[in-house]
Amino acid sequence: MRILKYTLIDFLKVKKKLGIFLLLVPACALFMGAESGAMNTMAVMYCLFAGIIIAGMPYYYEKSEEMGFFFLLPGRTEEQILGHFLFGSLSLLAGLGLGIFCSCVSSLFHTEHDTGNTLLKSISGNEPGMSELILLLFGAGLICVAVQDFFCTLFRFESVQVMNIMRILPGFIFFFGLSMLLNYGAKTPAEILKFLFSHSIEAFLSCLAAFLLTAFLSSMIAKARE
Amino acid sequence: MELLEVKGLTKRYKDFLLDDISFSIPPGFIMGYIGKNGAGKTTTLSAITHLIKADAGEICLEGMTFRKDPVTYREKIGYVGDASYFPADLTRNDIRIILRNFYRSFDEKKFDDYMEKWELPKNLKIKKYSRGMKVKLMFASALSRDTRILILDEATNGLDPMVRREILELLQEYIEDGKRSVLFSTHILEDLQNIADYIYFIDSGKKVLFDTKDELLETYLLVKGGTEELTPVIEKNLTGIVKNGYGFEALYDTGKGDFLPTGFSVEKPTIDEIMVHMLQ
Repeated sequence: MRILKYTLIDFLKVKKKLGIFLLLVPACALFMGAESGAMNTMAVMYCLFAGIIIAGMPYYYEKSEEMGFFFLLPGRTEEQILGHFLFGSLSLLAGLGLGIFCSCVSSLFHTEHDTGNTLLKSISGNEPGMSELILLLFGAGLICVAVQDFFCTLFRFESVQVMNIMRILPGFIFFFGLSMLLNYGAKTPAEILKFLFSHSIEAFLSCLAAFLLTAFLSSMIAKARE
Repeated sequence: MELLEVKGLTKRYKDFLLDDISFSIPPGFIMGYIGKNGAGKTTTLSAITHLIKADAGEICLEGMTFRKDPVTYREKIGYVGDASYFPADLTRNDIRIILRNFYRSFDEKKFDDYMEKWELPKNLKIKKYSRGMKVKLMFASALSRDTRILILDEATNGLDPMVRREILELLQEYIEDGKRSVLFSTHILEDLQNIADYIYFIDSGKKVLFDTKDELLETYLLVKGGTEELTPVIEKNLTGIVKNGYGFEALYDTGKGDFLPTGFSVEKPTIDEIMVHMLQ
């Protein structure tokens, strides 16, 4: 229960910035999707990217001289860390929801468009459904948030530079890496993509397990340092 | 049972050692924790509140250690520092929500009453508060819940005299039930002169003295006279001799016996004067 309360604290820290995100992100998602021609996939990817960035925002507000209030709260440090991870996963879910919403909106206005699925078919020889894509993208997003939160836990109060890099890098790798895959996918081993598309549920569950394991590990590290 | 017991508290930094600090506070009393800048006051208080981890020693609050039950331990402590510990981008409403969620004993009405009384703005970010407003918010958050000990780290610095007086009255009300105590670090020793029951004096990470305030003020006398009257024998029996153009001033420990020489001006010292002469 206290983990949820720490998640609420993260929300309070970033709530004032969320308004900008809710305006800009869908607009950018639709624009970028339309430009790329892979409307649905790009919309979901971009919104998940925004979710990853939001997941890292609470760490931006963690200056050591301002953390006294949180350290004085009657709770355990490991609960605080798990609260961060929960906030990260909820941000991703929100990004996913927004991405699916943008996809639906875009499909109302574009009768003929490349969802990205046919493009992926040309790469892998397989045409994945939207649900497989969503599972894989969400799984990749979980891995990015896990890596981000893990390094931010390790380096918080010790290296502002590493924290700043780790807040941004996973999200950018997620978005621009996948974008490059879509655009230059012919060079990507087709077998890997084929395997992923046909085992999307297993891949997602593996990502989820890795996320949970990383959360547990981070909380144990934070507890040991306390 | 003592309310707070600190035994052998030690913390090492690169250029500083807080060395084997021990003291206890019974319930219903106020202890002043004094020393010059860099003496180790904040380190001690941070270790008690577990904002930093001590290298050695034990700290018990009502018989409980932090390791045993960190949640209850933290619930029992109200802490006010000289610098705001609130995140700068939050508002007082955000603080209220967090306090309500985390502290079972948080009294929202009491908190709101303090906000009204001290006129703290509702929707303004804390980073825009003045120093005095931030201190008042810290006090409100600590006094709005049921704690066992209030730990104040130079908390009244920067407050105007009226608010300071009000805070001192609140502290005396706080301990009235005989179950709660205050540990108060301050440079405004006049405040301790008025309200403290115990004084712990620390210097360079080590204990200098620990006694009841009354006993301390009874033990020492402030001796003043002309420098020409200072003989080596007299000097040996005085502590912290300060010489200036008008004469000398020093402390005399009445526990040393009946040595006090005649012909000098003798008066009761203030805690301030005891501290200054002890550090000479």
